[in-house]
This record gives sequence, C-alpha cells and structure tokens, in this order.
Amino acid sequence: MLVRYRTTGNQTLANFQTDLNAIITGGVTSTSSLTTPAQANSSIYGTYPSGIYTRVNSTTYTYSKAHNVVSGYTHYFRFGFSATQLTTLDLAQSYTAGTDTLINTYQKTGLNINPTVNYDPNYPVGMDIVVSNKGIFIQAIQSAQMIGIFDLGHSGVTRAYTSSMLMAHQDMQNVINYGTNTGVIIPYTYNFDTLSYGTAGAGIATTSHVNITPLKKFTATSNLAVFENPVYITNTPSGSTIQLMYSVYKIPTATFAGIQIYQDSSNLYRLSVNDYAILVN
Amino acid sequence: MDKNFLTQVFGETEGYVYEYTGDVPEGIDPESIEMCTHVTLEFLKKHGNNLLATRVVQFPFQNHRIAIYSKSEEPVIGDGSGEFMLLASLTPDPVIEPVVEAPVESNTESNTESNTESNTESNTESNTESNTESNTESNTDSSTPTQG
Repeated sequence: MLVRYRTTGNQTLANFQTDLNAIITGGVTSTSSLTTPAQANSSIYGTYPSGIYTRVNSTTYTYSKAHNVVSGYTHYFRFGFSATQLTTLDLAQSYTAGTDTLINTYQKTGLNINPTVNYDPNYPVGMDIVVSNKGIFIQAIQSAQMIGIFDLGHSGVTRAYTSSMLMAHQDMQNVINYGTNTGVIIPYTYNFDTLSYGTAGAGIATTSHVNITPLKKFTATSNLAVFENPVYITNTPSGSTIQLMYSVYKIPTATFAGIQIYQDSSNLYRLSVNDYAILVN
Repeated sequence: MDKNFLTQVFGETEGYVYEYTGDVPEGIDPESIEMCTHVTLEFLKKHGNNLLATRVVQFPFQNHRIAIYSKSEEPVIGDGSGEFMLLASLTPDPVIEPVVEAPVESNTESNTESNTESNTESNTESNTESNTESNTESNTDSSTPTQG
C-alpha cells in the first residue's frame, strides 16, 4: 500500500503519529480514515499487507515486522519523535515486551521529518509512505529523507549463523552513490573479518554482474518498456556474500523525473526513487 | 580489542563500547540472543533508559568476552561501573594538524641581515653569547632552501 500523504498547513505531530500508526497497522483503507488535515489532498494505492505488522507497545511507536518469505524471522522497528518532528528510526533484531526494550538496535538519527507541509497544487510534494509485506519506506522530500526497512534474502552466511538479521535499513538518498557505501545497514549479522556478529554496512554495487542497470528499450508501439532488475546487496564483511533486497528494483536511468508512481504490466503500482522502483503491493 | 577493531565490529563512528564483566546466567548460552537480551537489560537497568540504542556482541575467539555498544554523545555509565567497563569511545581521534613553520626569509636578505647583525653585535658587545647566536642563525638561514 502506498499513501501519498499530503496535508494542509495545520497538520500536527499528534495527527501525523495517529496517521502513521494507522497506515502501518492497517487502519487506513481510504483517505477518510486519515486525520482531517490529511484527507483532502492525500491518495492511496494498492492494498494493505495483513499479518505482517503489529504494534508491540501502546506508548512508544514500536512495531514488529515478519519476514515476507522466511518464517521465524521477525524483527522490530521504532519511530522516535521530538516535540514537532519524526527524528529517529530504529531497526532491531529482537524485542523484550516487558520492558519495551529493543535488542541489537541500529538507530538512524537526525531524520527531522516535519509532518506539516501545506499542500500546493503547483508543487504537490509531501510524504510518501509505502507499507508492503516486503518492507516499509518513507520519503519526505521536504525534509530530505528517503528511508526504508526492507527484507533480505538468505546468504550462505546467514543460513549458518542464524542470529543474522534478514532485514536492513536502507537510506535511498545514498543509492545514487554507487559503490560500497550505498546506505545499507544490517544491524546484526555475522562478520568473518572479526569472527563475531556485528553491524554490516553493505552496498548495492552496480559494478557487480548481479546488479546491472537495465537499458531503455521501446515497444512496437513506441512506449518505453520499464525493465525492473532485482537488487542484491553485497556484504563485504561476510565474505562478499550477496543477498536479495526484497521490494526494491533497479530501473533504467532517468526513466522518471522526481518521485513518481507507475504501474507494471499487471497493473501493480511502484514508487520510483532515484532510478529505483519500490514495490507498493 | 582496540578502537579500530570495535569500530569494525559495530560500524559506528560515534558512541561508546563497554565490556560486560558480569556472570552468565545459568542455562543461557553465552553466544545466544538470550545472552544479548540479558546484557542489554542489565545495561539499560543501570542507565535507566530503555530507549537507548544498543548492540551486544560476543567474541568467542577472545575468551568469550562480551561487549555492548551504546549510541550516545557522552558515556552513559561511568568507567568501572559494576558489571560494565568502558572499553572505548568510537569517535575518531582528532586529526593533529602539522605545525606550520614561519616562512624563511630569502637567502640574500637573511645573509645580509644576519651578517650585519652578527658583525655589529659581536663587534659592539664583544660577547661570546651573541656571537654564538648570530652565527647559528646565519648558518641556518643560509643553508635552508628558499621557501616563499
């Protein structure tokens, strides 16, 4: 599900917290389910993935997310707020309910996402929030943030060292910095350089033969064919093993300008960001 | 476990790493997630804030030492605080700027000045000390390549 979240200038942080929680937990089925300042100009695409997300604490904004394929791998994320902004996003391997404690947590700080953006039809930006069974993604162009948590596939390392997480934090602002540091952080995974578990900064390496940017080709009716190649991350500390990053596809360079939606041949929606496509369903 | 190694383990350039020196509870595998949970809860109990972002790593090839990382600008608990011993700050060490030497005067000027000064001083004061200083200066100046 994609919510293109557009508000009037009187939106409050409390309203945004309510809306964000409802979007993640399946409480938003139409724009009328959003708080009043977000109803008029927002829009919704796709369907909510049931059985994946659960809010695990009624005070903090802490959620569990089950892996879309691999059973037994549920990880946790938490939003942190200041008085006016969304400031942090934590991704953790496990969680202790009694004390509301995240275990083995990577915290992305300095988000400073301001939920209040007065909608302007001539410049219709706002937040885009994707919640699918493969990941969650928030882009807030007004605050220069594009953050996501996406499922990962197994590698030989993660199959053997089973405490390794199968989700990663992905900063989509960094994906244009092709190379080893493209914003992928796995909070807890086995590291063969240190012979211990640890945190891996991995990358989407376009130089690898497994990550080729597709070319622009045109159909017989002169329409652009948007090829979507799967994305693999390279985890160098784990012996340069690769893992599939679910929910994210590489699309031809400069297919879309800015942040846009499109449909695939099955009429399923995508959100395009920096020459990548994020699955909506 | 030095700072570079711990930076490699935790992938952070800020925050602090502590070593857990407490007991391993009976029935818990020291390399398990249950142990991570135990150490995290003990650490946060001591700190008093369950919202702190931490990670626990066991080092089976280093006598099963256990370290916990906390993301914070200042140490959250003091060194030697019970079961936790501060190992390192992951903030990079400040880069020491090279000492910039004063520009050396040109050979011609320095030779002229130093010769004049040394002659004047030594002749007027007839002082051994002034002779030594002036000779040293003039020799140094004349032997140093011109730099700007």
